Amino acid sequence: MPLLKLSSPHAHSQTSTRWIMQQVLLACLPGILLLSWHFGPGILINLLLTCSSALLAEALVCRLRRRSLAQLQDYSALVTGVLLGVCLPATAPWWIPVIGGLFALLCGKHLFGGLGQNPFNPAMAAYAFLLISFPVQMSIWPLPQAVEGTHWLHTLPGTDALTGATALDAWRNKGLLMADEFWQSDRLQPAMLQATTSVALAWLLGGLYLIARRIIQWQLPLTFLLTLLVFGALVWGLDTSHHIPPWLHLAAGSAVFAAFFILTDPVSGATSLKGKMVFALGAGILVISIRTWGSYPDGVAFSVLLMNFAAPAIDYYTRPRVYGHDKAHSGMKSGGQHK
Amino acid sequence: MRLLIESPDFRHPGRTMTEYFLLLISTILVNNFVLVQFLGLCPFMGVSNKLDSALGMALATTFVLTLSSALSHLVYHGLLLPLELDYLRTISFIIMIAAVVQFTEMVVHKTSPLLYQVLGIFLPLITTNCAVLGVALLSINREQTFVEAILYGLGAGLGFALVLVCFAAMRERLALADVPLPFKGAAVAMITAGLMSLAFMGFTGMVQL
Repeated sequence: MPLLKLSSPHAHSQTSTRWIMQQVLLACLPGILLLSWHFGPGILINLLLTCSSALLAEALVCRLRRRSLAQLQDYSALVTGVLLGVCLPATAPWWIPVIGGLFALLCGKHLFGGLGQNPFNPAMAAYAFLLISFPVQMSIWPLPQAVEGTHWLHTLPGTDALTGATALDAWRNKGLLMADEFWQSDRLQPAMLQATTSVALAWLLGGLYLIARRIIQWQLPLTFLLTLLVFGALVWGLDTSHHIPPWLHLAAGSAVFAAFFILTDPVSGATSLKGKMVFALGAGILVISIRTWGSYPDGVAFSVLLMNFAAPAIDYYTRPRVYGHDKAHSGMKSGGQHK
Repeated sequence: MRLLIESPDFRHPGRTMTEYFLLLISTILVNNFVLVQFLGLCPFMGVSNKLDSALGMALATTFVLTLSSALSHLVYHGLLLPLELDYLRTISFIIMIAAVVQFTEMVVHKTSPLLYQVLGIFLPLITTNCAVLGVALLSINREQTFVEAILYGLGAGLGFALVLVCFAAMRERLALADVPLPFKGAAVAMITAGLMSLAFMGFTGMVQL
């Protein structure tokens, strides 16, 4: 029922949810490939399980709410599944990714009304849920295959991978060892670190693709990574022999991945550019604090959830100036006007 | 004189600023009264529908928490211990909290009649906020000094305020969301609070006091 008759030219923007989600999936590819190259085919199995359980949950909700199943074609459930799948350790038993996928879609997304209305990042909510419920299964990673001398491709039948702690986890449990003693004592860490660094670079590549495609804004990842470096360096300066050096914050753990793929979630994050930068800054400070003083080795999921929780309030206090007005209304003042 | 020696102020002299700061961080974030210790859930659910009233409630509760924590310390160490009436502490704290809340109510009524109307029944109900009595009793159990008791109350209040304001902003957004019918209203608010509590688990182990 067109009310307006528009004449040509009809400029058409190709931006649709479906297109954006496809681009995100494409940008994830290098990271996924390198992850499974280093840590074995378990990553791919995890991805398969998270994605299929996510799609299953979405289909179930569509049936229950009597909505069209066409929603499944927007790839958003698939993106959630992939973002969760790459966070899970490759050696996790099959039910971990399945529970995670179901939790992400049901409790993280559809209870709040589905696409575009979830206050928390579904993948991170599911990750935190799994980490708290199954801490043992969630903190054992296979060692990168270079350590064993033979790559997993050659030993595929009957693979029995060595497992160990990630760099951040090993650092947490190093006890009273000084920094240089730690690097000497653990001969596996250099290989582990090499693997995680290359994976981080792959995520960076995917992130740069998303920025080039103008799907995410460059300010947010930059703020987050700079916060990690600067605040990380400040904290490291307090005690250089026991605190995590700032470069390790980026090279190990999921910081780079989160900077480009998790924090940039347009729904659960802040809205305005200023709000987004406050959001990234807060997340960075929280990650460093949890890694340095908390009891979890990698605080990214918790930091993202905490900032998700603060995002509506951040939005409220960082409203952009409306064109034609001198100052932005924010806080109680504008709240009072609604009455 | 005996009163002063009984007081923990004399038993732990010379607390450093760092310890006070850690105590504050610990009560605001790590041991947040609402999301980690699950105290004060009723106003947390009841007054978080609108951001403005939540902000007022947060301020009022912070005020009450700080004042009642300090007063209960004084009452306990100045009155109950010297008279050996230790067993009366719960009931005397309740009376004292009711008095503080009554005082706050009069202040709010006088200074901001609008806020008084918005808060309505929830203002006198601060008396029954279990976080207030919880802070007073926990502070005594942890043998805190007077300054620590004030900071403990203030930290509990600030933690409550932080969580309540963020939750209210989130609920204003949720009110517009297309939540499935069985989960509308309180149910989805409970689930949100649960996920928030999950997020606060990330602070576990940060401050050992």
